[in-house]
Amino acid sequence: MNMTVQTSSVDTAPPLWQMRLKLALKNFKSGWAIFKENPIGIIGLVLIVFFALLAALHPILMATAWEPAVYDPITGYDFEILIHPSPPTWIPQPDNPMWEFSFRHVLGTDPLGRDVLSQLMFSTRSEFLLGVGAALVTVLIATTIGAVAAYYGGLVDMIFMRIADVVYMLPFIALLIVLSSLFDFELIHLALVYGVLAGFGGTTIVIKSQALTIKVKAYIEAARIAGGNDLHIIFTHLVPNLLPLSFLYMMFTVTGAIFSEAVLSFFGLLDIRMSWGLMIQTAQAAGYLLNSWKYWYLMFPSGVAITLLCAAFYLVGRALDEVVNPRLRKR
Amino acid sequence: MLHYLLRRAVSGLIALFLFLTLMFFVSESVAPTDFTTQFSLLMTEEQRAALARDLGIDRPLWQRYFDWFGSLVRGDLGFSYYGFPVAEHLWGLIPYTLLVFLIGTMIAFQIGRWMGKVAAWRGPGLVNTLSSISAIMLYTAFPPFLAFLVSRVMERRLDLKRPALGGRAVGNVFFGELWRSPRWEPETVMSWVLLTVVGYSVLIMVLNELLARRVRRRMPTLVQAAALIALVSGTWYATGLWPYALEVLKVASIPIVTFVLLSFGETMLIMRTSMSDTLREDFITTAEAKGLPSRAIRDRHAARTALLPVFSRLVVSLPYLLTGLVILEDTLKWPGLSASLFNALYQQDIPVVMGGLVLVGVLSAITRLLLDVMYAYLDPRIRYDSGKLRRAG
Repeated sequence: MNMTVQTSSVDTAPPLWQMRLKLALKNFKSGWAIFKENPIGIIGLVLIVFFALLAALHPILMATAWEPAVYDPITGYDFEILIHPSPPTWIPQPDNPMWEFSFRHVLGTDPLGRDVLSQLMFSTRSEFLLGVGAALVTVLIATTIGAVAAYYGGLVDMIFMRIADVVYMLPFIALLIVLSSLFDFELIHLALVYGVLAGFGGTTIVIKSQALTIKVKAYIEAARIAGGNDLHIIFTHLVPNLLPLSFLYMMFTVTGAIFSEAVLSFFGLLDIRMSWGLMIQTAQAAGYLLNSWKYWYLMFPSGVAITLLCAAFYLVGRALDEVVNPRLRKR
Repeated sequence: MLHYLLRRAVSGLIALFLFLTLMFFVSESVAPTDFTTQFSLLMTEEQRAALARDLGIDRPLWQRYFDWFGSLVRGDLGFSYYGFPVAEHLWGLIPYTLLVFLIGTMIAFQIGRWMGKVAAWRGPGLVNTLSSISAIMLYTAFPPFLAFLVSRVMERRLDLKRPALGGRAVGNVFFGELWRSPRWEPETVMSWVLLTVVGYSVLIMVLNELLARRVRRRMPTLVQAAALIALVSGTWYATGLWPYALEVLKVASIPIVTFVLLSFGETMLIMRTSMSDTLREDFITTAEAKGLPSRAIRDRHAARTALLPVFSRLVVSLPYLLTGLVILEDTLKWPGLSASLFNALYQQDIPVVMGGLVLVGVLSAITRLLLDVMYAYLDPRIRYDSGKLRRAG
């Protein structure tokens, strides 16, 4: 392309990648300055870091403090406790003479005698993987299609936008429920299907409208005059400028993906070893939610975790919205 | 305006058609084996073939598709694999779903609108942050968990005898003395409750608009609410529906409250954003400079303008609201659409599944169109569009 011309004419200038890095860093700093003004974003970020720590701590704890035979999230069983499920061991139980204060099971055990905290921490990793996987698929599809549709316009644009309209209207969960009850659905399938659905739907429309405003900027024109072909313009000039918005929509996709995983495994439709939704499903299938309040410790940890992690990404998304959309700032 | 609505209706119909086609092929082609081999293990080969012929599943897929779609257009949803007519089966479930969905959406919309308005009016601060965070938390809350909390809080208070949380079998949710030999079936009562509440709300809305045109004033919200309650309860009392309707609402209150909690957050967030946008417009400054009372500026000048994006967003998030409802119904054992969808899925009863999906699709298409009508009415750009066209042509 025309990069050689540029660098040879300005010999003393630093290489292009250094400039780009510097620019990116500057952008990031100014973005962060706006982001940290907003308590909503900070709370979301703290929550995400907290869950990331939980996920990272699990293998360490399994290797050091926790005995695998007791604490394994899937096959563990604690023989020293007579009745499973058992409430958290640090809560006094007046009717149990065997009770003594300990942090043996911080969140209690489930109906199959497994440690709830261990399950919770173990599942966190796959929730993150699922969320990020789905979000990457979404953003990849949405950014490419958005950029291509906006750049070419005409028939290409119309076809993709009509597809987006239809996908947008689909009742997501109903579709996923039908799919997953007829297929053997694994986590990776869910990430793919969710990512594709979200990518072809609403996200594309938003990103395309942003791409339309970038397409008419002077530097795109300049690149075209300098002899850049369509692919070059789309991928080195259009797409990088769409990335902030794509990143914002990644956050909302993560929320949606984690939520739908929880719902599907709550209905027992997902082929998965352990997840937050499955923890509630286990308790429900064993009939422990019939007398719901007595076994609150089967419902609370995973219910709260799902709610908090979904909310965390949503909160970060809301705060990022203000960074990306100058119109929303300073109120 | 008519042109605009017509266009929306046609595009809605096309989307519905594509959705149903997609779902038909997905559900027909990904099932592991067909219905006869899966559920009639004791039959001989000939019997199985005969059953397949009876059910019409031995024909090629495209033929079945055209058959199914043809009868759908004629308003016939066909028969379940277990022999009962699908339309009749689903007809009995509609009141359950609509009761929660319509009343819940109405309440959620009003709460969200009001909270968003007040939050934006107060400007940034602790109240604003806290209300945003709690709205987001409720919006992203895991529906079964929220349902668990709500039923915990409300069941004791209302003294409800309800089937407990969880499990899949869904049966009758109405027990007690009243339903031993009722004058009306619960479904009939529900339909009447819906009809009166929605009908009177629309009536009050229309009256309000007429009043606004004639004397340029509107009824205060409180008066509207009081009038609605008086009218509705008066009608119930006069027709003898009173105890039944009360009982139905009592049982339905848990799904309705959960649904409201789940869905008001979004309305509130959008209302807040668009209201703060509106508050920086010039006409607000003008209104302030004129010396109008701040209440009037807030409610009459800013909030009305800010309502537009809320409507357009509601149209978009409808599928999400409906799916939230599906999860909720299953968790709370509310015998609505989802119950039938799930049971049918487990039994691979494709006609019932497709019927349920048709209902979901039609429901969302109709609500979308209704919201479009309201949107068109509220947005002067669309309202005056047709007038211009007529003058030009």
